[in-house]
Amino acid sequence: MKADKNLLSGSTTLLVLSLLAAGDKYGYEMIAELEAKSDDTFTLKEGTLYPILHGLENDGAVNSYEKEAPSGRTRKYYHITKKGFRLLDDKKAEWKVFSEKVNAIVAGASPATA
Amino acid sequence: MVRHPLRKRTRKQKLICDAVILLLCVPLLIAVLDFPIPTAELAFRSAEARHFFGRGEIVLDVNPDALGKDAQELYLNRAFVSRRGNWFAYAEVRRELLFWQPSGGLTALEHDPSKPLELLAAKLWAGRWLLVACDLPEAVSAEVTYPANDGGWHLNTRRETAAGQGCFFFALDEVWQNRYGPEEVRLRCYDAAGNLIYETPTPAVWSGEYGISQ
Amino acid sequence: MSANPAFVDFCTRVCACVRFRPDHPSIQRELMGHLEDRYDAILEQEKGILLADAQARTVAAMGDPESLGRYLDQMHSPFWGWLQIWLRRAVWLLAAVTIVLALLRLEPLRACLTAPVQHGYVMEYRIENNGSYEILADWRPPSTLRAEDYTFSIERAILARYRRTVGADGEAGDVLSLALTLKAANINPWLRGPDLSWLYARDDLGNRYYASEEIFTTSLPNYVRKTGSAATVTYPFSSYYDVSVSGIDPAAAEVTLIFDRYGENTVFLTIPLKGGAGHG
Repeated sequence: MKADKNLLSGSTTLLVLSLLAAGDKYGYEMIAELEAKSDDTFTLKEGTLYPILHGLENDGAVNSYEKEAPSGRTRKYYHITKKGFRLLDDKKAEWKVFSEKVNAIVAGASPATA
Repeated sequence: MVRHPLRKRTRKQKLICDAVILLLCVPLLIAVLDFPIPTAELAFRSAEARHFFGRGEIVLDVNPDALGKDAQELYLNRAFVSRRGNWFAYAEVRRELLFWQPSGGLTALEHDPSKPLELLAAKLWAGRWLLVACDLPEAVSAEVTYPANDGGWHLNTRRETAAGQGCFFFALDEVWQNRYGPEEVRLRCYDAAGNLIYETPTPAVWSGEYGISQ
Repeated sequence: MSANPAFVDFCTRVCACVRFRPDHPSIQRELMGHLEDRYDAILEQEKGILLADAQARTVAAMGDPESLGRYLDQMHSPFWGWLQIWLRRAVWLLAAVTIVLALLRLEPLRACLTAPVQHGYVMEYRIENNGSYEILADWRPPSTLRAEDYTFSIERAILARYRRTVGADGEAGDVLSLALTLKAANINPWLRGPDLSWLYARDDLGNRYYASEEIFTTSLPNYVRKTGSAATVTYPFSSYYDVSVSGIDPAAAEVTLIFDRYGENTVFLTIPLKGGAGHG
């Protein structure tokens, strides 16, 4: 089933940072990996990825560098910084709270706990 | 995969780098330029300190442009007069490109408080200007009459409104001869209505030595 | 391989919305790389697809170029971008100018830091000593004085004895002469080189040794006791003066230098005379 995109948009930063936490990647690599890991459930629109990456770079959460691949193509790699890790932790915590609340509402077909 | 071959520096890092370079360059530049003095007033203050005059209150800023005189005529760029108690200090400053330097030394003149109107400039080098101390607060203009010689002795009179506090500055058309002293000059001062408030006695030498009939 | 025109067109349309021009090349490179990667992936996954279709799908997958451009424009502020570029240019220019000037003025800079002592004419004459003086002592008095903005100290002092006119009727007598190299140190380089023409001296017997300026402005006989001072060299943070007190009474045990021009800025620097009355 196709996941509802609304669920995804607020957490794109979380996904991007998580992907980078595992190692430096370039833009397309992130999209491909996300598709692979989510069994094609998530397709991230490039139209949102690059603005997010550039925004994170402005904030100092990621650094970038260009590297030339053997094929002759230059790729811009992104690297998560210490500040980026802190942001990732914040986003994870946010997500945890968010998902717990959603779970609570969904599970609470029965009256809410006092 | 190779980690971090050549990381592109972030904007913030570049800004910090530039700021550090600036912080290092500025003192070095100042030393290389031999510690220039940025303003005319500071140049005057340095003259004050170097002559152990102490920090006086600046009572007159002799700025030829502001006074409307041709600087060439006055033979000076800029000068200040400051006062500490009964002592007046006069020093010139000159501009060197963007900065200022004291020019010449500082001349200190003691004002006799028993004289409400006194010519101080007699103790200075020959120049085309005079400095008169005035203790009367209601005086708004002053006049100096002095002997001049071009073909024969006669009297010249100049009148000025106060540009400074407690003193008057006169720029003359001709060179003030070094040998003139305060006893060869008559001073008068007037209030706002034009009334004569005070005048110094008419010098005896006018009719005597100079043979000027008035 | 040459760039695909459809991709180039896409990138151009994106960059058209990004105001800060200097970042266009890197944005272009990044997006082109992405488009090419996507294109290759499509071709690989779907063998037999028409190239034109693959191209169209690649571009479509990126989304609307204008809206992407607008998002990116928000991230690439022209204000900060240009500010940093011009700041960088200004700073590097300043650094270049500074270094060039520093290389041209290396000697003065070094002098400014080390401020080597330089003795004046009178002191040099004493050091040479061609025999006209009997040198009694040559030492470095420890006396120092903090006054106003300066710290005065004495680098070297030479006390000598000689014979000269001491009175109005021309009688000769033995007198002492003290030559000093006086150092005035200041923290503020704008105050370098104080004027010491009003420096005068007194000894413990009450004799006055008139300042150069006093002698100049009044008329005193030439056998009068004098204090001479001349600036030798001025550095930004220190200056040296050739000071000489002449006609000193041989019975004096100490000489005091006094800076007192206005009757209140009185400052003292006392130098005990070794080899004076008590030392013979």
